[in-house]
Amino acid sequence: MTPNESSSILVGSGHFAIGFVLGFMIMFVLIKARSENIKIQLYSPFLPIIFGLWAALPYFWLDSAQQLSAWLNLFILYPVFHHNEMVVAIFGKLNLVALICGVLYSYIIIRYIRLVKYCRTYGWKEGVENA
Amino acid sequence: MPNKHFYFSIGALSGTLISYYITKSIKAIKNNSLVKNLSKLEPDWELYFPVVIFVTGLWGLIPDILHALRLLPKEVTRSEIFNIFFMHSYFEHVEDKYPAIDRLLNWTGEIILFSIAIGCMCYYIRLINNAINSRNISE
Repeated sequence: MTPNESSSILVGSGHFAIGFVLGFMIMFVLIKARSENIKIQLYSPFLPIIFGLWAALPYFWLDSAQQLSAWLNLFILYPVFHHNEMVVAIFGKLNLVALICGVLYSYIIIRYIRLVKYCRTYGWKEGVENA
Repeated sequence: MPNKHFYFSIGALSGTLISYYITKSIKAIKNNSLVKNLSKLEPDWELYFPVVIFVTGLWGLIPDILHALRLLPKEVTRSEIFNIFFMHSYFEHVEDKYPAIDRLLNWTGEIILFSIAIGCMCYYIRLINNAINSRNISE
């Protein structure tokens, strides 16, 4: 994954960021919808990383000049985002990608810290809405 | 030259090792006055190790920050004194001679950052599970 400040295609870090943002949104919904389930609270924060890696996977084996097949859309619309001007304008800049992923990751860490403090004080009652 | 995230990753790795050492020495340093004062200020201060990791990571980025803010030219930030920022100048000169090592360093930086990110999350999960288990035992 190399930075490319002004390019017409999205590099690996850009695809990773798209997957990361999507995974974060799913994680957020799950955490709010299933607040009584400790396993969701603990392990759903891995979703942004999993989605990010999945979205960036084709970048590791594809040549930049290669024609992108339709089946690559399985990797979170890889061909669609690869040449999209608006997406490249946002996720094509490594500094912006680092900032977006950094802020979202900070939210995850802050959430974990609050959960540690809550569980140290009150424990966790399964099946009942806790923190 | 290696990408910026490589320098950040070296700093973050150093911060992780410092945090790990403190965690392992926690019983020995509990009577230290600084630690006592810190515990009064925030009893759960050991939860904020990612801040240490982030700050030490930023230390590695200082030459690039100075250059980005146009405070110092690249020739100056490549001078030997800037090796105090995790061998910044040494790695900057690597690109001149060994492009393959440059790519390897970038990949290494990404792997380090990824591992630290996952490691921090696992650390908190372990703390949460310990907290829940100890509460369940006491009840």
